[in-house]
Amino acid sequence: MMEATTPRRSPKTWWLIGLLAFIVGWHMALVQAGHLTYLGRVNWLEAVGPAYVFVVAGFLVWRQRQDNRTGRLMVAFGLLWLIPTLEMGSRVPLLWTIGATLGWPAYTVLVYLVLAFPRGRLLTRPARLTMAVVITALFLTSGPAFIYFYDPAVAGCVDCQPHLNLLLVHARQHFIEVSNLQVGSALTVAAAFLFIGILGSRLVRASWPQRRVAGPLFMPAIAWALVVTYFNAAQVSFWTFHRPIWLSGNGTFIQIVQHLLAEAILVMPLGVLFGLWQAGLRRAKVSGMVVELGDLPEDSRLDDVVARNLGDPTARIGYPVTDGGFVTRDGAPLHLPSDESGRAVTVLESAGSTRAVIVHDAALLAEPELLASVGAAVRLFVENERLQAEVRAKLEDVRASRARLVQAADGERRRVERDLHDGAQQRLLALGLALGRAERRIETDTAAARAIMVEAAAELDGALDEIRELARGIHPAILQEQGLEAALQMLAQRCSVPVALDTVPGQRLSALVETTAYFVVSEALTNVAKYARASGVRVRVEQRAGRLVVEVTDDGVGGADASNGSGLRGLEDRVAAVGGVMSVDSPDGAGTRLFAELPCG
Amino acid sequence: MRVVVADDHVLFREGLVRVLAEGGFEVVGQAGDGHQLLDLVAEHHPDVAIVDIRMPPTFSTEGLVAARELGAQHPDVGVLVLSEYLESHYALSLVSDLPTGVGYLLKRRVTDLKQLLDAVRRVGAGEFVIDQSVVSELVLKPSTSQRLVGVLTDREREVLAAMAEGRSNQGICDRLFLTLKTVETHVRSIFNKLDLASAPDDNRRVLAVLIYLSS
Repeated sequence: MMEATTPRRSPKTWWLIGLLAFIVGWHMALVQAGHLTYLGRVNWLEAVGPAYVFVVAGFLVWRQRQDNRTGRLMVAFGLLWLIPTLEMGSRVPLLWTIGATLGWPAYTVLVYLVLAFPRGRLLTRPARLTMAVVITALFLTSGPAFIYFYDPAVAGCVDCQPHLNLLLVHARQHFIEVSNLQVGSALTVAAAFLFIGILGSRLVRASWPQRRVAGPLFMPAIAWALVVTYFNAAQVSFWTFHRPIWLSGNGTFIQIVQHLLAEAILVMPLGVLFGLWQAGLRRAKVSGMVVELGDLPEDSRLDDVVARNLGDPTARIGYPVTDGGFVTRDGAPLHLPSDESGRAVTVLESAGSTRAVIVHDAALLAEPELLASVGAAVRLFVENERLQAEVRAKLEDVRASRARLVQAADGERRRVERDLHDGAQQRLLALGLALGRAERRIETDTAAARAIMVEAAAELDGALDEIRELARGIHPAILQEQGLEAALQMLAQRCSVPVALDTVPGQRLSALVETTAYFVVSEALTNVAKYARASGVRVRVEQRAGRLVVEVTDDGVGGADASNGSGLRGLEDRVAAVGGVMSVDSPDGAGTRLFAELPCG
Repeated sequence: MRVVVADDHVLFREGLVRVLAEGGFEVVGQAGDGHQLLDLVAEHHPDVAIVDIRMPPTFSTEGLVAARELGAQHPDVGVLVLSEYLESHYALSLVSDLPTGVGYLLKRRVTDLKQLLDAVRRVGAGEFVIDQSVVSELVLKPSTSQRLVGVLTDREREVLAAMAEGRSNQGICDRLFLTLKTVETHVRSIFNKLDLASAPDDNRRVLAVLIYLSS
């Protein structure tokens, strides 16, 4: 899982200005005090240069990665680096002593910085072990271990003043030779080997994104460690075996080695910046990824686009499934890696639920912005696809419902036509025939004509009845004129099963809601009368929080199914069309309860 | 004249039977659908079969199908098809399919008993009877009326319409209160002007006129 990151404040620019001013001041003071003169013109760069470079570079990294220690470690190193400069050519015993005693913290920080890069933490046991060895070696080869027995004048420093070392107890050159130049150097060689081994194996085993980030730092770090190895190996060789290796006697070579040491250190912060710059380049490309995703051809895979943009060919996208696991786009299960596997998971959430995960190389955790950018693009894409699917499904529902409504309306029209044709129309035709017959007789046989007229009037009555009945079926006039309550009472009276009409809201509602509620009750009562074999039915209509609740409950045989009867199905569509919901609960033998909720703002 | 009536609506059928009986026809059978009708006709061999166009089982054009069947099996039996709705193409297909004695009448003509009984009688006599609303629909059709205006006089158009209803020259006389001579002159003039081949008998004449009108 991605580490929880605590937000930290971005360092202000004036801190950098202040720090630089401090270093410049220090530098000037050193020049003034003549500390740098003995080193020659170029070497101020090697003496103070790392302070400048590390502080500036560290500050930039710190700004970019506020949740990563690397930047702060770099700034710390740049400042700590200044302390040993107090020793160089110093004539002030206090400064000399401080400089000679406190050279090791800078190197500790540097080694830690490299070993912990890019996460800013020592993650593996070998790295922690190496760190311990390095600290021990530094201790032995620098001040704290032998300062009490070291007199620079005795040790061969020709220019050095006497009594420079305030901590000197007793000059013991032999002890120094053993602890510092033999044991300390040997341990340093061992520490440098471990250091090189760890960096080398990490580079070899690293994935490409890891290499791209760490390489620019690890390469100069390894070079630096090699020089350190050589330097210390030469010390051991000389002091232990009294065998100068290569050109150790020649001052020029030693100077070259010392230059190399300083320059390797100078290059390291640039390596960090270079890795960061590369990550930035990739992040800049993510905007291109959004464009790419917007125009993603059907057959290309989101995984490939993401892998390319993360620079990690092993990156995979997982989609959540109902059992809590994840699957790839092809449906294969995707197991989330453990923390030690070198793989990491970035979870993409939206509206509080996980939409997708990206499983990728753990090295990418060092580039949180890249992950966040790619993740955001993927989340948008996945979310967009999900919404599209949702809309498509909804549209399909609406389309089907609309088709059913049209069918229902069509069927309704056909029914009305048939009713008219078979009913009123036939009666009116019969009426026409009767009138014709009456007309023929009116003069010759008045009594017969009158009888026919009576017959005709009866036909007319019948025709009127049928038309009225039909009109009520199309839209009950009473509903429009007197409202839902009166219309429902009418329905209740006409139902063959006794109806108990509970509360019905007295006030008028919108015509659409009233009509829908009316037909819900009407259809429900028709069903009860036809199928339920009920002894009673209860109708309840209630207005509740902007919704009209319609409930029709009978004590009949149950077993009604909305998905079967076209009547109930049609009713469901009708209710859905006004934005309501309807459900039918009808267990066998336990009556039927039809429940509908209609919005009535 | 012996008549068979086929209509699935009992109320109307009964009324029609009474009217026919009172009009001097002998109603020898009543049918509720096409099959019953064919059986009755085969059994009684009436002069006229009156058929409702819409009957069971599908309530679409069963009457039309039965009429064609009758025309094929019993060409000497006149068929009067009654229809609730005005559908000119059914009328045209009837007169072109059946050689003689066929009619298409709207049911609402029952309010004019004289016209109804007259139609039954004419179909029985082997004439064509086309409901006047079918004819006026054809004549008033914009494309047709355009062709006729400027070619025929008003009087000629009236005669044309009467001809299209299936009336004989004598029938046209009665209808328009003209002398037989005048009618014959008009008819000749119409045939000349419309470039129709003169037909020997009245039925072919009706057909020619209807085909001209509906083209």
